[in-house]
Order: sequence, then structure tokens, then C-alpha cells
Amino acid sequence: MMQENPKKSWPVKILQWLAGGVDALLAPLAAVLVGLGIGAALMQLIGVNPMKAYEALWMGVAGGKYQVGIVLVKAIPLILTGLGLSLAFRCGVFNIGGEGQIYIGALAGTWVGIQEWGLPQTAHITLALLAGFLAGGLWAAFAGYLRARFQINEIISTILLNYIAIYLVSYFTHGPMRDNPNAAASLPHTPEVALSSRLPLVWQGTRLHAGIFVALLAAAVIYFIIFHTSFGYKARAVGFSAPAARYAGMRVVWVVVLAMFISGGLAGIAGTAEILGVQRRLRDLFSPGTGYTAIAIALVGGNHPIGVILAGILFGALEAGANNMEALAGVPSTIVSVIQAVVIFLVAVSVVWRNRSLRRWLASRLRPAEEAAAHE
Amino acid sequence: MGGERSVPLLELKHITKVFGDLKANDQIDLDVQRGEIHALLGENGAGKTTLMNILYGLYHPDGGEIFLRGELTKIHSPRDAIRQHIGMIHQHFMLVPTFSVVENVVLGLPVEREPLLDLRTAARRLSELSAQYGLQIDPNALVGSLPVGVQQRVEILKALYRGADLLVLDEPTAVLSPLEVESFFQVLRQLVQQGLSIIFISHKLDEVLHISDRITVLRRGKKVGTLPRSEATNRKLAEMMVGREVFLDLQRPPLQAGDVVLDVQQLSSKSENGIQSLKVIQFTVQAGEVLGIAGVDGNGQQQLAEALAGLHHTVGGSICVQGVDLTNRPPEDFIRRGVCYVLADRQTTGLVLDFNVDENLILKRCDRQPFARRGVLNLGGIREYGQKVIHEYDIRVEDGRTPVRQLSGGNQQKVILAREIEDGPKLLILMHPTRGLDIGATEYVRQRVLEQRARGVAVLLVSTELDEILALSDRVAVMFRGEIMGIVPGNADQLERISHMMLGESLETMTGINP
Repeated sequence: MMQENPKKSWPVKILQWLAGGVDALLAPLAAVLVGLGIGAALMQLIGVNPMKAYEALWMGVAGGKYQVGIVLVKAIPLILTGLGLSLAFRCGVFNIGGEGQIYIGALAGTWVGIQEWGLPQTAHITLALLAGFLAGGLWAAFAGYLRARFQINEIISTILLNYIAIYLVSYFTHGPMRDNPNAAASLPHTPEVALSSRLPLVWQGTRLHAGIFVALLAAAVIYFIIFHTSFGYKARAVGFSAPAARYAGMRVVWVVVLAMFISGGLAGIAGTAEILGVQRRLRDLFSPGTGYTAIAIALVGGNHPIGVILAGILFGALEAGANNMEALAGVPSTIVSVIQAVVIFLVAVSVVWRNRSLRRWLASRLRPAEEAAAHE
Repeated sequence: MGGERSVPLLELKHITKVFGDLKANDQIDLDVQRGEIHALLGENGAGKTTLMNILYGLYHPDGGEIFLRGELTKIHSPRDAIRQHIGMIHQHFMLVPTFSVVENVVLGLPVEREPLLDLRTAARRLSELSAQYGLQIDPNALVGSLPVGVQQRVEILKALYRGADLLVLDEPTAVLSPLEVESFFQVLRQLVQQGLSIIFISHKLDEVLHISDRITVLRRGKKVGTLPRSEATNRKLAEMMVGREVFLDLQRPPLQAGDVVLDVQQLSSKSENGIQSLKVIQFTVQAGEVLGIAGVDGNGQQQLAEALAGLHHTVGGSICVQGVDLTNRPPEDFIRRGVCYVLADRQTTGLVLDFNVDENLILKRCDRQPFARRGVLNLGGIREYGQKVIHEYDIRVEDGRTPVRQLSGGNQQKVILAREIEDGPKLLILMHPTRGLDIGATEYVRQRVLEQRARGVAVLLVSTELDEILALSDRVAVMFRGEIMGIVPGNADQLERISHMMLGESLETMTGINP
């Protein structure tokens, strides 16, 4: 601590960096294996051949170009939402509301998407994504304001806002925005979005759409915000110590609200991109819990954009593989969900366990009384 | 003591503890006799607390041996230490405020009629103990309602109740008022008369000289030596601690006061529970002047300092800085008018512990040139500035990328001081600026304060250390229960009047005492 050797040569630095990266990946990968082991035991118990199931899982992840494309498609909303959450987490706000922000964003984005305005494709897509960003952002900013101004615990408020958002989408897909409401076989979903608003496919022979570029761009922007802007600096200061930030003359309320706005905005983009690039129309209950998985992604990724991308791909692979397990090996979907949940849980625990500051931070977040005291 | 060579109660031999590259303890020897008060003296970071944490089983030594009552032993955990009759009283008490004294004392211990909680027997035993050691206490009083000095007594009783015959006291006087310190020392003397041994960790020379039988000085993880009290003097101990001649007397050049910078009129405030924390406070501070605020801790100094930085809401009166009314304005407005506040709570409020040194240095100016332009940070500029400040303020770190969490208390305070002074203050508020700092850092901070005074900064110094107040202040105001009892010149001959005011006498009614 006192005197480290002051100058290290470049190769040594790079080797250390790589070793650090491998080291950081080791725990989550081990957790994945343990989780799959538990899953195997579970499948054995209900009479499914785990070897066959895992072969299907592997084929679903790396069976070919098409499968790799699917993994990335699954990763897009996970990465976008995870990036948003990581900013909120860095600002000390435990935003659990990614799911609701995805729904609200998708609702606004879809509304723009289904309009036949005759816009050029780029304009229409941009407009739809922007609508998703604004809607998700405002949704989250509201919880941020309640937290910063009135010390209302954001964990509770964002969870409640999730319900409201999900039911709002339910209402709109059943009612005002329903496709062919008078037809006999009408389903609770909106019409398909306009051709001009669809995210184009970007890799021939796969379903990978341009949302991947949106996600990578968002990662770069978030990286810049966190480490290269005074707002990002303030957000980190507020996250580490709100009393210190207040004492230093920062407007804590404003910082928290803006961080939550961006955070929810990215979830909103995630929802919109999922509609414009994959699902084409907004369905009731369209998201498989992306907003919750993204919490684990932000934590596993160390709230760092690059970590979030890697974790997003890992969890995307898990999802794609799990789907294949269900389709090819005939594993019941509930069991697939259980295995998925076990793996996600173990990965998140393994990373949090290894990371002391993350543990400390989580502990402080989950103890509302102390939190209130810290804010006076 | 007594001269005969009996087996010491405790003997530490060649204790070594390494943290990374740092040798926190390097081959330390220490022996404690029965019935002795043995002081462990050293600057912050000298290794006192590490050594005691080894003794209490919180750390495991990398080398060396521990002998208790002549026998080689190993201490694996605090529970183990308690079983071997070692008691430790931490600087921050480990008490449950909503429990009674006896409930706190039996906390975690098996009681006779398990699983029922037999407090009556425990209370009886506690009363016997307190009678035996002369520690008066009501076993049924609520701990939270007791003064700090009495709470400390509860901590001692807790250790005695568990059968301790060796007590380790970590900076026990830091939380006490001067009067409480005296009665605390009496308690210690009674304890050693009953055959207990005490290790007293401190960095206050006067107290160490006053109470100990022998004094062991540590410096940078090594033992410098052990002296009996008869051979120790203030200056000698100070030299041993810092390894060089220390100048304990400061030169304060004559006052050259300018315009009024801070004008506080009839200021009143309430704390959260509705109790009036500030009562009609009134004073001014001029440019180039140091106004000391003396008083026992907890008499409204904190609220006053916070109100003057925009962090404490007031209900009456006004605060003007250079003629601008800032009453109840947010902190950023105070900062903009040149009010800089070095607060007492360095760890959670003064610094962002998880930020590195560079980042902490720009905490108040992260929006401004040259550190940011249009909201984009100038990382190169920030690093350069950090290098410059680290050099100028002699902050001992490898580089600006070291997290401040890893810095010693003295270096953390230097970071804060550098940040506030570099902000170009018009009014500098300091709250306990040298509390918990070693001699070298204390001297450094005081020099910097006088330097700011010479530059024409108005300084408000809140401290409980009277020698600090008298050494630095041109005038001294004394606070008692949220009021200012009077303002006197900052000379040593005012000591008696200041002491009376600290106990609640107002200056006006004090006709009997003349300076």
C-alpha cells in the first residue's frame, strides 16, 4: 500500500489486466456450471435426460451462425436495460423498475411505430426510440424524485410502478390499441408496427437487427457519462456518499432524478427495440422479466459498460439455450425457468460475494432505516 | 511494579503483523505488570490499534508470541480473549442505547436460569461489582439517557462482569469532557488498586504523563522504547513519537483585522426532536481574525457550524457573509460566497471515501474550469492539479489515484484542508480540525490556519481542545446549551473565565473573576 513498484512495463500491465479479466470471469462461469449441475439433478429427478437437454442448450448457443444471432438478439434488451440500471446503481439508487420502464417505453415506442406517417426509415426509427426513451425515462425519474426529495424508498416505489406499467400495457393492448378489436379471433396485442419503423436486419442468415448497434452506442455513451462528465462524477459522488455530495454543494435531488431519467430511458429504448426489431407488435405481458434479469447483469458486470455487455451476452446465451432445451429436448418450460433462475441466482451471488464494495453497497441499499439516517 | 521481578501479567514478544507491503507491527515487545497502567503512545498509524487488535484476537500475528500469566497462548477471537480475561473498550462504545445498564452488561452472556432472562440476579452481581470497584451506577437506567462518561463506565463494568483482569482502553478520553476525564482517571486508579492491569492507548501526552506508570512509545510499527513515568517529559515523549524536535508553541503574529466577513444576528434553530439547539446567537468575524468557539462537545457547536455552511435549517435570525444575506440558503450558495467548511466528520461527509485523492480534491469544483468544460471532465487537468496539491500539502500517498479510504486520518484531513484552502475562502470554518490527528499533522493544520489568517481570511475555529483554541484564536466565544456565554480575548490569562463559561456561567454575571 505504501510503496508499490512505481513503474511497470507495458507487457506486464497487459498481462495483469488479462489475468484480472480471466479472474473476474472465473466466478460467474463456475457459478454457471454449478447451476447447470443442480439443473441436471433436477431433470434426472423428473425423468428427463440431462445430457440430451444440455446438448440442446449448447446447440442453441453455439450450434451455428443463426444461433449466435439469436444469442445476440436476446442480449440486446438485456444490455440496454443493464446499462441503464448500472448508472442508477452508481448513483446509489436501487432501481428495480427496469421491467416497468421497458413496458412503458415499449408502449410509447410502439405507438409511434404503428403510425403511418410516411417518414423515412431512419427518422421513424429514431422517433420511436426517442419516444421509448422519454417514456421510460420519465417513469423512472418519478421514482427518483420521490426518493431524492421525500426519502421514499426506491425499491418499493419502482416495484409498484412496475405493476402499474404492466397493467397499463395490458389495458392498451386489450382496449385502445388492440388490433382488429371487432374480429372474431382478436388477440390482446397491437397492430404490427409500420414497415418504416422496423429495425433492419444486419447479419445475413440471422435475425440480428440494428438494435445491437444501438446497444453498443449506448454502452459507449454511458461509459462517457460515468467517467468523463461532471454529471457522471456527481452521480458517483452521490452514490458513494449523499451527505458528502450535499456538503460539497451538489444538487443531490437533481443528480438523482437525471440519473434515473437516463436509466429508465435506456430501459425504454430496450423495450422499443424489442418491438421494432423482433416482436413487431406490442403484446400483453410481452417481456420475459428482462428488467429483473438486467439487475443481475448490472451487478455481475460490476456496473461497468464493458462488464454489462459481456454479462448481457452470457445471460442472452443462457436464455437462447434454455429455449432450445425446451424446444428440442422436451424439457418442460417450468423446469427450464427454474434452471435459468438457479443459474442467474448463483452467478449474481458469486459476483456479489467476491466483491466487497458491492456487498457493502447492497447492504446499505437494502437497509432503509440506515439509508434514511444517512439522508438525515 | 514495586521493583520485584514477578512474572508479568502479559508479555508480547516480537509481535509482527504485515498488511501487504506495510509492516504495521515490526517485532514489538511489550510487558504489562499486575496493577499497572501502561500507556501505549504513538501517532496515528504507529501500530497501537493493530497491536491491541492482535491481543484481542481480531487480527492474527504473522510472527511473535503472546504470554499470559507466564504461559504461551494463542488468541483466536474476541470470545477467546474474553475467556482469557482480557477486556477491550473501543473508542466507539458497543452499547445498545434502548437497553438498560444491566441488559447491556449481560448481552450475549448465558444467564443462570436459561432460557429465562434472570435480570435480577445479574443486577445484584452488577451492584456488587460496582461497589467493589467504586463505579457508581444504576443498573436499571436506560443507557441512551446516560451521559457519555457514565456510558463508558458501563463498558468497563461489562468487561469486569466478564471477569477481565486486563483492560485495553482505546483512546478512552476522546469522547469525554475535561471534567469527565478527571473522574475517569480516578476510576482507573481504583481499578488498578484492586489488582487490575490497564493498557491505555492514547496520543495525548498530558494524559499519558498524568495517569500511567510506564509508557511505551511506538513509531511506524516499531517500538521506540519504554519509560517509567518518572523519566518521561512532554518534550521527550513527543520526540520519541515523531522522531524529531516538535515545536509545541506556535507564533501568532499580531492581529490585523479587516472588514466584517461574517455577521451572525440573533440566530436560533431547532433540532429534529424540537429542542432548541441554537439560542439567539450573535457575533461577527472580521477578515484576518480567528474566532474560537470553545465549549464541551454537544452544546450546539455542530449546529452552528452547519448553519453557517447551509446544512442546518434555522428558525430565526440572520447570517450575512460579506454583506450578503445567506440565511437558510442551500450549501452551494455559501460555497459560491467563499464559505469553506472543514467539518468534523471526515469519513462520511468531508470525503467520498471510495473516490481517490484526485477526485476528492475537486469535489466542490467538478463543474468549473479547469476541471470541466461544458460538463466534460478534463481528466488530465484533474490529475495535474492533484499532483500539484499532493506535493504542496505534503499528502503522503503514492499518487492521486489512491483511494482516500486507504489514507491515515492525518492525510485525509490534509486532503480536506487542501480542497477548502485551494477554493480561496473568505470565511474558513473549522470543526475539530485536529481531532484524532497525530502531533505532526496537528502542527501542520495549525500552521495552515494561521497562514490563512495572515492572508486575511476570516476563520471560525470550533474545538474542544482549549490549548488549540488559545493558541490560534484572537477572540474566544464559549458555547453552552446552544447559547454563547460570552466572548473574551484569546489569551492564556482568560482560561479561568473560559472554564466558568463552559460550565454555564455567563460572562456578564461573572463579576467576581477579573483577568
